[in-house]
Amino acid sequence: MKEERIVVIIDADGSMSAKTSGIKGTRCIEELEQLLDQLAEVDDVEHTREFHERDPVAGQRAKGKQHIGGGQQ
Amino acid sequence: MSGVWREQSIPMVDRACALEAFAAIGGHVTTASSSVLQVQVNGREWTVRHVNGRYSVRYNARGGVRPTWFAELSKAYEAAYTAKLQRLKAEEERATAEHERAALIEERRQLEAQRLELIQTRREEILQRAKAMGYRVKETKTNGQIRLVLVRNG
Repeated sequence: MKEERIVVIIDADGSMSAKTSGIKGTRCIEELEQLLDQLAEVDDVEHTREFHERDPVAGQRAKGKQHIGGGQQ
Repeated sequence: MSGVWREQSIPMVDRACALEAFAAIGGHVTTASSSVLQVQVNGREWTVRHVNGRYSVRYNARGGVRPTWFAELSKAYEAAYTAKLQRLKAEEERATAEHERAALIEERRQLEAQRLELIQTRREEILQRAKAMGYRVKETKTNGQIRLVLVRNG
């Protein structure tokens, strides 16, 4: 089984960053959204090559930068 | 690697600095309670909620773009926060009366405590959610920075 990994850094000033690896397609954003919802605005996720590979679970494809999270106003 | 995300500003933990930041970008607070602020920016009303240790402006990023004034607000907040810390330190040094100095030290301690509380809230929430999502978590801490490595077999 392939390993899915998320590294979350919380800096001393309280700000956060995260990197995912082994999670393909839009699922990497969904995972971050689920993990960080309400804790931070998870927008402007930069996608790497793996993002554009077809995810066998979700079977979806997406391109470019995607904005997610934020909530409603 | 499939996705990289970085928070675009330091979290707004201090209410006075948050209010100062909104004023600096031309925002106007219309109503305020302990946990919710209504702020008018560029003629539009926004709700600012105190959630998980920080003041947060919610917006629908799926349906639109990040408001341009967010970047200005972040800079204004950082400037207000830095200025407040410096002011408290300077006033502490100048204070001659012991009770004045104690009050200033306490104010600075509370400012610091808000930051530490935010870090703990974020850490605990992520640990809890990660476990619920089926991840194993390894945690390390270096110079005040917390690193959480979440691993799951896909």
